[in-house]
Amino acid sequence: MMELRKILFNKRSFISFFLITIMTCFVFAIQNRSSYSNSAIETFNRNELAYQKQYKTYVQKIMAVSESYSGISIFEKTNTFAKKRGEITSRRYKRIAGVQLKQTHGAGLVSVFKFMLVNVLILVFMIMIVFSYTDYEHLSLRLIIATTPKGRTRLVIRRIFLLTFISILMHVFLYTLLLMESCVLFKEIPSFFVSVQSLSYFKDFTFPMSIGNAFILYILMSAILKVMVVMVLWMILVLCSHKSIASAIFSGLVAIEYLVYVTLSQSHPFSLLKYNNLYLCLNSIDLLRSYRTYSFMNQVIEAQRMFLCLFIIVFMILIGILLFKGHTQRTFHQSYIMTSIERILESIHSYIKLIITKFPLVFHEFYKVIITQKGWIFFLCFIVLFIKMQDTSPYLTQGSIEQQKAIYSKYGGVYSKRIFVEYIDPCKKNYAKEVKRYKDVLKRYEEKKINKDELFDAQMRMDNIQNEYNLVKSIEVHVNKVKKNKKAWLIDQNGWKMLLSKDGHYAGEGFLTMEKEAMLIVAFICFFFSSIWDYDQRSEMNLILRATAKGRTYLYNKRILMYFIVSVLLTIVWTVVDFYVQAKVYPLTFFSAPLDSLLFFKNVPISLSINVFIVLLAIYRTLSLFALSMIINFILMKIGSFKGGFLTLILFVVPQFISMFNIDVHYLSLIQPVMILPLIHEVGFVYTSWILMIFYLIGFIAYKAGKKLWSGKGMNLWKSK
Amino acid sequence: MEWEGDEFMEIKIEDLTKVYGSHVALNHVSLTLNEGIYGILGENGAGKSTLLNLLTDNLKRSSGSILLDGKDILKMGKDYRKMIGYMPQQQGFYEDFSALQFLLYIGELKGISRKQCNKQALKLLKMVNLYDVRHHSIRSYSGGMRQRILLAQALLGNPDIIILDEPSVGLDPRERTHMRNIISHLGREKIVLISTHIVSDVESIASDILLMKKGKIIKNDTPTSLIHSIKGYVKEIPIDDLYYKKIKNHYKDGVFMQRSGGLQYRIVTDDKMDSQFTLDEEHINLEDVYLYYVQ
Repeated sequence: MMELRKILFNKRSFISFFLITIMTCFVFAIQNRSSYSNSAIETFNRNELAYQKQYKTYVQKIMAVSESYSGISIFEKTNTFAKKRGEITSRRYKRIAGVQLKQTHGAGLVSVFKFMLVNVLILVFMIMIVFSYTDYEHLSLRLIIATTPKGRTRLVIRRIFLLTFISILMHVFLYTLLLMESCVLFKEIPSFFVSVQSLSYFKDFTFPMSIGNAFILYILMSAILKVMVVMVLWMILVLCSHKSIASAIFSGLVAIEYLVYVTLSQSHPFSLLKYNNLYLCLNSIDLLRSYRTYSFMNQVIEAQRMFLCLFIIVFMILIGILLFKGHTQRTFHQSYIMTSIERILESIHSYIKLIITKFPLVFHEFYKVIITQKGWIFFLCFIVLFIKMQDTSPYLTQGSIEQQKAIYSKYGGVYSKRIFVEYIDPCKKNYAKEVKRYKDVLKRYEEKKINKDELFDAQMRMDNIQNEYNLVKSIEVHVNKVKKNKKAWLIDQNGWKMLLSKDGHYAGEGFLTMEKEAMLIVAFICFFFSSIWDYDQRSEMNLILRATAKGRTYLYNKRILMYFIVSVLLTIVWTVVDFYVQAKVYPLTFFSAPLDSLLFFKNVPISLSINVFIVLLAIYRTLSLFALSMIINFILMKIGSFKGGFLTLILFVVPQFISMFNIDVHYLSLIQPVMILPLIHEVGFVYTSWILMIFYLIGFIAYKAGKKLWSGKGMNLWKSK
Repeated sequence: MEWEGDEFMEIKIEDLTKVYGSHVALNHVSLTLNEGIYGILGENGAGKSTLLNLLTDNLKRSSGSILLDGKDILKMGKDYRKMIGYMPQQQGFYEDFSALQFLLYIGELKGISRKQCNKQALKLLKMVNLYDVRHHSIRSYSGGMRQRILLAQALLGNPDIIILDEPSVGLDPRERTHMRNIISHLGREKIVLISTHIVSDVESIASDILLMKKGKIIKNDTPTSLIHSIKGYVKEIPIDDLYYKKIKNHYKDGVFMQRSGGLQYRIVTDDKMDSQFTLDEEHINLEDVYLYYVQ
């Protein structure tokens, strides 16, 4: 009970739990926003109905194919291996051949099953609990516990039970919450009592049971599997007695397991490793709903059964090791291997430090933020998330887009009448001719002079001509606009629209990708620099620093320089990634064309080319990011560490985040001046300039205020604790 | 600001006051400091650290002034801080830094050239016996080693004013002696301020002693004069003497001392007593002075 109280009634756990809950709900809503529209739900239900109609045939087909598995081997008349596999598969599917399928209203439920983030978040929470189990940082505490009568084996047993209990609790809570959220978003309640095979998502689940039971089974299975994953970490921690090394080993192990899972095929001789994998423990829905067999050492193996057997064995081994280590309580410092690893790591670290000493002060500051304050973790998270949010799949694949690209590349550039003479006018004439011809066909059909097939051919032809005509009309509209604006060139708008205007990767997305990128960048700044001033406070170094000649204004400016360097680097990354993704999605043309050529920009006040505009945009974004950094910095000076990080996150990122749900609070968001383009679209160039100027002024004031705070003559704020 | 070696330095503290809410930490202190080693003695909360923090401009004064050779140190700013070396009471560090890295970092903030800083840092590390572990993380250092690296950073750049706040905390007797020797070798051409509540730290090396109590300097003199000032007040009474049984409840702050003639009870008091118990001036030490004035 005390252990439970220690974990649950702890500020860090409480905040983490709260954040996990919030994040789960928000991300679920965002991730599925295209799935809970009425049309999407209708499509889902239609597809499910179609699936249910042909389900019996599907199962019978599998059984028939399985039963017919036979072949000639060199030594035997039949291929016993294939036969055995066929027999097993047939037997399994036989169990579900007779299930009655009914309507499920399960679009939301399937989204809940597919939602992976919740598993990751629960795992993170449980990793935190395991870390709290290891009292190695306070060795004396560990020794005190070990000398109590219940401080060894019994404590380990209690902690294993507690881990299981918390895992189940978290799963039940978060999945119930998700289920409720899905009911609200999808406006339908799933039918829990119908057979789970009624959902096409579970068509290969070979156990006859209801949706409700499958849901409970999944929650329990997922909870227990996560306990096993964190017990692996716990075991490594116990064996290493070193948090950082254990974390590195565990991360390496998970990475290897993931690579094994992704790279090995089902027919690979070591496919056993693919289907009995740590990564699969996180993605347990895949394990549950899929029926798989593979061969290992000439034996047919059912993936689920083998997984269950190995899971029990590994679970027992883990418990055994933890109990044994808990009972003996030996510190790993006695181990030669561990001491050697520590020595090697220390010498690598010393070498890095030696190199750092040769560089100017700003590198020391970066070293502090990145290495000692673990800023590299935020950096890694930033890189992973930034890459993850990019979508490089082609924008559209219809033929007309290719045709449009070809026309723009042929006639693009400064306007000339050639496009009318060579393309628009002939196309229009052709269209008029085709319309007349089609009318004739219709008339002849009505007179029953031609049959239905001939009419269908004519309709097809007319459809194609109509599509071409629509394209001609849209290009004509564009050309007429270009004709009116003498500065503008005729260029393909699509790519530029995606990069700079309201269309995101997919039509109707708005600035979604840009907003997500900007929010991530600002969140990165909030957390990356959260410890920059707090570290001095915590380590009580501020008294020494401030007593040195350059420890005030000079040091402050060096730290501000860090913000600037980071702002520049982030803008470069942002711009380069955007261009790279754009190149994959839709090509950009005519970089040197005047900005007026992009017709979605209204009232461009000065004449400049697109490439100059791109450079200017990057410069202004850097300045905006820097100005926002100054404001963040000032807050971090007042409230350092994670508290400051979260506070700045709430102040600067959350309003933008909320506005993504069509709640109009983006006026409160300082992410807008960082993105700049949404501002230009909303208020035009002139007002955007004013807003940016005011924003930079606020940034400058924040810089000055921060400087006064740190370098001022005599301070109460920076006194030691 | 470069200081000419043949000129005298003078720090003049005038009517310096620091108030925290209703608590007066430093109460109208006036003082003049010239070259020499000053030991600031006082019990916890007497205002020693407050005085030093005001001298390093880490704390905002409530009133009064601190002048270095007639110029206010707040106005001098960077030029003043170039001249000071400060060792705080807290053992604050960037734990992941190595000793050498830490000294080079502080050296850069002190405005010492890289080459010069490297040379000085290595010399100081040798002086404080940390040269062999200069590449190890400070995290792995013991309390004594941390104190020594703190002293080394204070001495980096050869400052003219050295301010040491409780320098011997956490040191074993051997390390304490070593540190005392280092401080005494700093020379008499610098202003060295050592704040401590351990009298033996400054007894042999300080040229002047400042006794502080409740935010005020109650006594400021040379150790000899201070000892002379309590002549006849220090008494040692054998514990088997009847007189001891009579006074033991009255003088509870006395200390037991082992002497060749047996266990003695040592008290500092200006109460009139039998002269046979009174010690000569040569047997009086600064601890007696401290007990007399401070307690």
